[in-house]
Amino acid sequence: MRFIYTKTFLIFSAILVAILIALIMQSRGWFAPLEYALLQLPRPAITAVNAVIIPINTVITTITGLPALVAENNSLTTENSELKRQQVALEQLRIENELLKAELDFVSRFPYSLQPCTVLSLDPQNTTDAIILNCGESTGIKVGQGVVSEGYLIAKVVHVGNFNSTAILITNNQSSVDAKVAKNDSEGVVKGSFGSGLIFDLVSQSAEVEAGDLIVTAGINPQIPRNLLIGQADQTLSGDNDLFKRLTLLSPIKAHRLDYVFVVKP
Amino acid sequence: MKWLIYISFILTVVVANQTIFRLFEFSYFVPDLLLLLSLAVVWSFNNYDYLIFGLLGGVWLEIFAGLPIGSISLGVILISSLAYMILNRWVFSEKPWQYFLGAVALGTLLIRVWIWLYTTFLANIELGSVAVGSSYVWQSLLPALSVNLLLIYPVFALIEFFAKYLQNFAKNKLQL
Repeated sequence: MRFIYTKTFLIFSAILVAILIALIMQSRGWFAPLEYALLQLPRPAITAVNAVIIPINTVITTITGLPALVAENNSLTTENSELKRQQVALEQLRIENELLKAELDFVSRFPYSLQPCTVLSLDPQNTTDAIILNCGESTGIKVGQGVVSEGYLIAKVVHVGNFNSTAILITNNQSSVDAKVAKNDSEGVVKGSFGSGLIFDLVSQSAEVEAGDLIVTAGINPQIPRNLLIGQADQTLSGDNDLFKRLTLLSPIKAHRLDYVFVVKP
Repeated sequence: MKWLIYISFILTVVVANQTIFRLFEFSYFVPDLLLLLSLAVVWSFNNYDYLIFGLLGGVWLEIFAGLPIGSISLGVILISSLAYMILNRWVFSEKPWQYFLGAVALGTLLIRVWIWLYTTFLANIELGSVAVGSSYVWQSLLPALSVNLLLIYPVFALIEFFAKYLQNFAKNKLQL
């Protein structure tokens, strides 16, 4: 009997055709209801397991992080005193600014709106650094929009379905975001790197940037508004003879613990 | 009964991925549980039962990882089918269990290469929005290989136990 008439051939052909059809349906967005159902189906089990392991994880993290917490507490106490001093100065500036705005009749408004979304899943193997959100076209999400958590830009939307969307973390090595130094507008590009790190690259050698400076979005990409916080500059990786400055960035956001995020709608 | 247990295995893999492996931030030290289960089923059962792990489990994990359909499912099916042909049909009349180690090691490499090639191809023809970089293959290979090899025996023992249970179940049914 020829192979094409065997049961084996029929089974494998059927599977191949089914996967091909599912792939085409997924790319057209027709697979969204089933995707949503499959994402929601294990949620009770995930919630139950999390209820047990989150306290365990918290205890382990606290014990292992105790020395770092003490050091962090010391540095935060110093930083707090400094910030209090700056707060007084800024308060004066705020009052002055309010007065000037009232004089000029400016209307204060937010430049963008935020769409709250639940994180349905996150790839634990870092295959794609993707997070799946429960917001889709129906809530006005579009490809290219930024995702923030605690005020920090953490991801960019790459795929939008009817009920859910996929965003790639900016720590992914294929991700890049136009950025600038908040204090002097020196521009560069924030790229992802392996090990969940961020690199502030392509910064002019003449630009003044040092550890602790805040790096924000530059607003060149119309889908991501400017002045969204990305992270804090840390170590300088480039030398004086390099064409551009290159620094590592620190972001306090732990992507693996995200439950809720906001999509920024410009 | 058998299929319910298979589905509960798959559900366990999905839940473990989204709880333990996600919260404890093992980075690349995350086992390919689905591949391990599928290869263990190939080893223990001389049939096409492994296809359910590839098809249902693969698609489920793809949706959770935001990957295009086929990235994991087709990879697991292809690798398991290859293992099925080599282990059960062509080469070995008696199967020393050490060969299972070889299958898992090769499978760990092949699944990564498959995900990289498949997603890159789909992104190039604009059928997929996410492409996995080649660096992922090399960065994750050794950590994943080490945990996969570490978990071979527990997974293998679980499937063997299940196979024996099914065998006894069928024998008792015949006696009745």
